[in-house]
Amino acid sequence: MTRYFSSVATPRARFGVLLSFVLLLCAVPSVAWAGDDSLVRVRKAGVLTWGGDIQGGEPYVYDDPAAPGRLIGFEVDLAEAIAKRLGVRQEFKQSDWSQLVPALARGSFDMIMNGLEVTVARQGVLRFSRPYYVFAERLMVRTDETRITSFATLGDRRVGTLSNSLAAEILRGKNVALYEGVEEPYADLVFHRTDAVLLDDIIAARYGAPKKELKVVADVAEGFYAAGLRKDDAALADAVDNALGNIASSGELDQILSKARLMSPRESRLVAWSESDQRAMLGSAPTSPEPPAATQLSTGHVILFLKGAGMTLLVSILAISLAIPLGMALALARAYLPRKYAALASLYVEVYRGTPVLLQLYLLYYGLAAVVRLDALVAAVIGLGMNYAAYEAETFRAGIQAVPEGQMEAALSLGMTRSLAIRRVLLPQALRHAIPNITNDFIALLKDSSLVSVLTVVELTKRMSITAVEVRSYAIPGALCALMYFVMSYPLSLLARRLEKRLGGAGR
Amino acid sequence: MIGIKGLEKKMDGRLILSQVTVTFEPGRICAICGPSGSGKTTLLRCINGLTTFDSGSVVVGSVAYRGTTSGTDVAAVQQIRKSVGFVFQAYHLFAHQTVMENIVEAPIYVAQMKDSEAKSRASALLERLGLAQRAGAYPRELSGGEQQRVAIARALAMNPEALLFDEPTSALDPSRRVEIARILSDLRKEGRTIVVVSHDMDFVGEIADDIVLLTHGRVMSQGKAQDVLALVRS
Repeated sequence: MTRYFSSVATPRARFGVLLSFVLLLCAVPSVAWAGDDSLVRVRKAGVLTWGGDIQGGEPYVYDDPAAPGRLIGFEVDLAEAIAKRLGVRQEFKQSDWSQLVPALARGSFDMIMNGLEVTVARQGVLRFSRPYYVFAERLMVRTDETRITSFATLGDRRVGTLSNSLAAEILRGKNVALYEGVEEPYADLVFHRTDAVLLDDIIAARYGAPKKELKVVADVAEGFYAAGLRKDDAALADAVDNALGNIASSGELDQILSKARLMSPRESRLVAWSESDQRAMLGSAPTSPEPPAATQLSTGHVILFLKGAGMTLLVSILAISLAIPLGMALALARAYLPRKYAALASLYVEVYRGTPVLLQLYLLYYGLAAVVRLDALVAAVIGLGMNYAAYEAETFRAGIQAVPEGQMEAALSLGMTRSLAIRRVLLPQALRHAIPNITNDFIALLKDSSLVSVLTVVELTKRMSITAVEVRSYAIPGALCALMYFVMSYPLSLLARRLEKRLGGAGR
Repeated sequence: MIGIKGLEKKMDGRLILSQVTVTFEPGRICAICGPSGSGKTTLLRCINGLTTFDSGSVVVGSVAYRGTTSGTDVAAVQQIRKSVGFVFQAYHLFAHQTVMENIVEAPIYVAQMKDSEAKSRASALLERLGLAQRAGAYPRELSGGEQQRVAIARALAMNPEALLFDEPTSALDPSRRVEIARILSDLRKEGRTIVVVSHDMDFVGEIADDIVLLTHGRVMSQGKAQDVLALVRS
């Protein structure tokens, strides 16, 4: 899935990085004495860029419903206040939430400010400012739930949360469903696909609490939102800390949070936030149990990768097993059924080919959930299978057209019925013509199967992005992931070529 | 016996066959002759329902086909095809099957014959047509003449009372022509009705008992071969 690789530099961007590196070298003599040039750089540019994901929605950073295209939210107000104190303007940069940390590292913006929770794992890759919000991790269940009465009674029941969140760290080792958006975890909880959701109280209040089927069990931990900066940008980090301190003590933070209806008694601690408070926050970042600070890719990771690859294979094989017969039926309907049914089959093919498979998966899993509650794996197989059936229908159509008309006539002239002639003479030959293309389609399906991670299925690509966050690097997990896809698809590719050669002469 | 009565066929508003009335007798070889585009092959295809027609009828034994795709006509065509074999100009052997599989296909799946019986009858047919060594070959491995004999064996495997041949000599060298002539006269001896579409007048002169001469979709002449040939020459 391409969006996981959004941080891979394009040639042009790479040139830009090279250019700025050269410029940086020129600038070094004049600022070398200042330790680092991060603050100078921001002041010179006249802009403080900060990253976030507007998909996170209200109240963080989101599109103003009254003026589409304009961003609002308490973090926008906060960025405005910080920038003002630095004597620059602020500029928001959109990034996938799960990609914020790598995007910061590669210099896409100066700072992350988007409900970024202070965690031990993140301290390895970035520098946290002083906090601007204190929140609670809130556990919610369905109103009829009686077994789950606290965090301790979760057992191995399935709990939904956002991937790469503090809650995900707290839940490490439990039966977790990881999501990319804030609405989906609560929707799946209502639909009995999970048994609980653990997320920040801000999110719970806005997306969980309004659902009358859900109730709060407890707040299980306290956490902090803070801005994240690059470790090397000490000067900028100090300036941001000073600005945040001033914002808190001047009462502006109170105003900003009140405006967003986020004020709680907890927030009063932020006004007199001391060095020792900061040390305590960083030292005892509320992560129970303490997450292993895994920085090395281990055999454990490789085993998880193999499991992910197994899931990728399972989903792909089941989906193609659905796509082939369905595609064959569609192709036959188009070729041999009365116009009315043939048109329906054509409509199916055009609709499924003409809309994104990601959208189809969303509609099937979340859109239809009120009617049929499909298990994630079942939805993944049906979604991909029905999509690929449209492509297989075209492959079979080409296969049918490749069989000379005389073959059908010869069969009919021997007294065969139409259906018998199709079964005994047409299909076996059409299948031979189609097999090399079906094999190629299967290779494509193998890679498209990474899309099902949006349905909480942890397959190879999802496993890669989870591991990449844990080991704080995309390079090795990415290469390992690519290698595994290659190992699965290359033999198929060879097979397709051999089949093409062998069957090339058949049917003439 | 095959009887055609008042058959008319239009294609894109153009009359292809007009008021064709002919009878094909058992134990005789009848050739349908005429220049290219005279409707010879279309007439042959009308007999076993590969082509529909607009009016008139085809009667094979007690089964009548009125040229449409209605339910009764579909059933009639099904009946007719079981008793009328068709040997195509390009043979159209099933490309995915061996010679043996081609021949036993219809007996097993249409006539519901037992595999073993179908196979032993197919072996006998192959022996008779000089193809005993080729039972395991695929069509693409055969010469044109061999393919034609397999096509004949495939049609004969259903033990049809009539056999229709479309241009049987078009792709054959002279020695093969002698062979197909011998096969046709053997089939005649067995009392089958043989209809051959051909523009090869030498071949027709050699084998035909009767001739139907078509021009622009109309029967110009029909009768004993020597009479029609005499008419043509004069």
